[in-house]
Amino acid sequence: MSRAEGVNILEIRGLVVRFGTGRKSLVAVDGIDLDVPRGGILGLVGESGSGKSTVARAVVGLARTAGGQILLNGTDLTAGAAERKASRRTVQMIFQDPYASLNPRMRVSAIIAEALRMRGTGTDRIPGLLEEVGLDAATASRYPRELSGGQRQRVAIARALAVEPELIIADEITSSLDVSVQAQVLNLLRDIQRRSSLSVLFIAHNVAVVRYLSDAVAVMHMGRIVEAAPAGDFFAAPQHPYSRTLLDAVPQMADVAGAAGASAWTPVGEPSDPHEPPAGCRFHPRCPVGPAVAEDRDICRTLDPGADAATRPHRAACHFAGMLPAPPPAAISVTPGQER
Amino acid sequence: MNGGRLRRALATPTGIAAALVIVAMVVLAIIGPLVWGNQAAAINVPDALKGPSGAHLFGTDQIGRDIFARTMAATRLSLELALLSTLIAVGIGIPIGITQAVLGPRLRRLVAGVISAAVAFPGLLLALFVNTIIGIGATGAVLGIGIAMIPGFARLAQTLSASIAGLDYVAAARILGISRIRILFFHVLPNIAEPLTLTGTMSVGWSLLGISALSFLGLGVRPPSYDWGALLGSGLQYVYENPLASLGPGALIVLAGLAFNLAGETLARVQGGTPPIARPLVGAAGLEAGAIGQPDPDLVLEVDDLTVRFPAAAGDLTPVRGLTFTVRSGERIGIVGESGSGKSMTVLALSQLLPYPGRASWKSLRYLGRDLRSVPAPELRRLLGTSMALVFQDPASSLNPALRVGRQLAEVVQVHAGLRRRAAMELAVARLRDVHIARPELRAQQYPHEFSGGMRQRAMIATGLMGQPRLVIADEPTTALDVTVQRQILLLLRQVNEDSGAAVVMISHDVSVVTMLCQRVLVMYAGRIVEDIGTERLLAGPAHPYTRALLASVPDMSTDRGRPLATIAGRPPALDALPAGCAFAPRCPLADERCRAADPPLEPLDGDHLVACWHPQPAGRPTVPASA
Repeated sequence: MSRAEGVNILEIRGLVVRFGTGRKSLVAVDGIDLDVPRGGILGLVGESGSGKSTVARAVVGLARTAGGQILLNGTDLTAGAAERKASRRTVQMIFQDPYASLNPRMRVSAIIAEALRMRGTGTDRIPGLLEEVGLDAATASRYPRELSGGQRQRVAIARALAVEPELIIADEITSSLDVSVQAQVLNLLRDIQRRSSLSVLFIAHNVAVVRYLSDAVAVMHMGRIVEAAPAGDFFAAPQHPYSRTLLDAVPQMADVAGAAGASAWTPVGEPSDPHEPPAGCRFHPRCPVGPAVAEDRDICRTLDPGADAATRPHRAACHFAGMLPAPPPAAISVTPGQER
Repeated sequence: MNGGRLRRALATPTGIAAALVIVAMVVLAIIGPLVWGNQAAAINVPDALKGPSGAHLFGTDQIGRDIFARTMAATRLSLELALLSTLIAVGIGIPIGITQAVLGPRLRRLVAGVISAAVAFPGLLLALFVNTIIGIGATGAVLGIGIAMIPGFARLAQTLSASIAGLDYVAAARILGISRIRILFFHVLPNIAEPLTLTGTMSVGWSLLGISALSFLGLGVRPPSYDWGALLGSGLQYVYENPLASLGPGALIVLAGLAFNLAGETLARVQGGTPPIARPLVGAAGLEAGAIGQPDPDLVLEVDDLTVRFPAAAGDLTPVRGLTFTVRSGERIGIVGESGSGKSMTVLALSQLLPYPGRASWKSLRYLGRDLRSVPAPELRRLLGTSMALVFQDPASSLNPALRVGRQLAEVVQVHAGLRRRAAMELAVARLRDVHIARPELRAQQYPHEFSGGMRQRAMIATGLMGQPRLVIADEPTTALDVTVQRQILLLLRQVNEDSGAAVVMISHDVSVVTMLCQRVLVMYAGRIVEDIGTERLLAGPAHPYTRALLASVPDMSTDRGRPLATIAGRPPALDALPAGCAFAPRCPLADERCRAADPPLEPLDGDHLVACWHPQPAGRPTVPASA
């Protein structure tokens, strides 16, 4: 199975995904480039409707692509059914809602056995897999309805691991879990990834969660990647104003109780209509440093900054990348529970 | 299907009746022709057209055959034909329908179109049409009725399987590369089998009626064969001489039809589950209601010993257990807890919106100084409608999609304050402006679907501002919204609080969001308040081990990426298996014998900081044992 061992396990080039036709049509993913480093975690951040989940669904073949390439280990998955079929053992996905992602009529053992069968492995691996995701062996005989949300998500992870994939796509896997359970699942994913040098495309809207896990970060906005960089660089000096607004929106323990004030990095106005994306930079009507507030930045209305993004730091799709003031160094943690 | 539920459903009068009649019909179908076959065929011309007698219960027909014997003997054919036509409908309709789950998009649209067209064609006409083409007789009738029922089954199976096909576990199976056939049989069919079974059962009754009708019209079973419909038809010719000759077979048609429909009903009940039977609640606290002294005018809400109970077979479930807290005018309070902590039930109890069969009881519950129990219902509605504002998690479902936003806002004051339509609309526009909605005159004329999620939530808050709000209850107001909108909503709630002096109670699962807005936080665990703490102290380090663990488990922008996140071992207790002592003890690193034996009361630690813990921790950077 060894193929060209590139730096990236997954390379997405010019991917386009379109929904519907005619006036109701929507370009959910508009020609994006994205790399998932081999053995690393790429965090893909964006708000609802940004197209981040559509990227995930396109990679695993649940959404039809309208253009571009999805190169997995150098093989283009959009080329045909044979390539897609061969990818089944390499890529697996974990979904957001653990209540919808497990067949309620199947016991945990049957759910995992089905995946094992696709790999051609015997069911004797079930106890080992359950142990790997931190579940009792007795869980095997349970039905999903007998399990908590966190336990279900562990079963979903075990099912994904059963085919021994090289790449796991995790789409908002903790956003429907309680915070204490979220920490357990994040720790589990991190442990598994390190132990078996998996590659992970980790999709989330919560920047703090992405920051905790990711080696590299890409930010998606209205179907486009607006910034992509190694995690350290990204969080030290985000280049796109939209990235700044996302970082700024992370709820922080207020320094003064209940006194969180307005921020300079809050988007202006109301969200744009995704059916009629704005010309030029798609963030320009909402940009807190863009033409809506700065008269001289008319270029943002007309010229798409995505075209020469590759020449800018962090591949930022912003004409004024590099001119943003650096964010203040992370405030000394006010979160208890961290010894230094 | 759950065996216990099936037994319970069968034990109901409907279930018993349906089961008995169906068993009787099946027995009759088996033994009918054997016992009465000869008698039914015996021609006895001299006895022709006799009325009912001891020898001939239903009388005789034109050539002296016993009608009772013929009716009994006809059971087998009648049921056989009904079953056959149902099998045709089920056997063809369901496979067509469930292909929806696995076909490609083009074929799927084609099949869906064909089904829609077929459903639109009148069933009776289709049955007669097929019947005429195939030829009059039993075969024609069975095929006619069977084919007429195919579109219905196809549509049902299509709708059901399309809903399953959209679920993530089918997506997961496809990603695993599992074959379409296996997906169909293991992931789709088992999950839609129940509604299909029950519709199939009911349609045996329908096709029995249909075939009987065709036979009655002379289009179905032809002599020398006969079914109930044919007997009914021939008996009707001399209904004035011998009514039983037609009523007898008619009664059996009705009985069998009813039985299959009741059986379907029973199955449906098994599938849906029966609502728990409410028992009257006894011994509720509250005998001393109103015995509390002078109400404090500064208190908006005074809750003493609030308990929410859900009656259940194995003993009452109490999602909220003895809550005591107060909300002062102008205060911003957060209620924090994980799912199952009882925070949402508390809100529903306070706003008098508890779902059936839940019941709230309390020692004292005062809102704006008035004992809620002593306020008559119409006045209570008015009081809550004008002074309490509710903001829910999902703004999309709390606004009426068919009403313009401005009208929905105006309705509040038209109903409660008796404002004229025009004045109410002007107020609505002003309130939309207050919540920072641009061009409020235009927006007021729009429908909720034309608003973004954040705008809908602001419109909900504006609804609350239409009266004179004294208390705003916001249940996870930012959870369904995008992160960049969150701060906007929190700021707006704060602005409402400062401008109008209304108290704000915000419920959230996220401690950090709560600290951005609130001055005081109530931490709930397993239906109780475990800590009532000022936000300043919370940030400095709370006293309850659960609060500490909760804070530590949320990653933020300064979390150390090199270490595992702190977690809380285990999971919250089930409501029907609460431990004897402190509910958190099984998960608590500090728990000892005392904690396991006795539930600690919520008591002052210092000043107005209350904690329910035998081992409260001092402020300062806490040491939370990471159990990862």
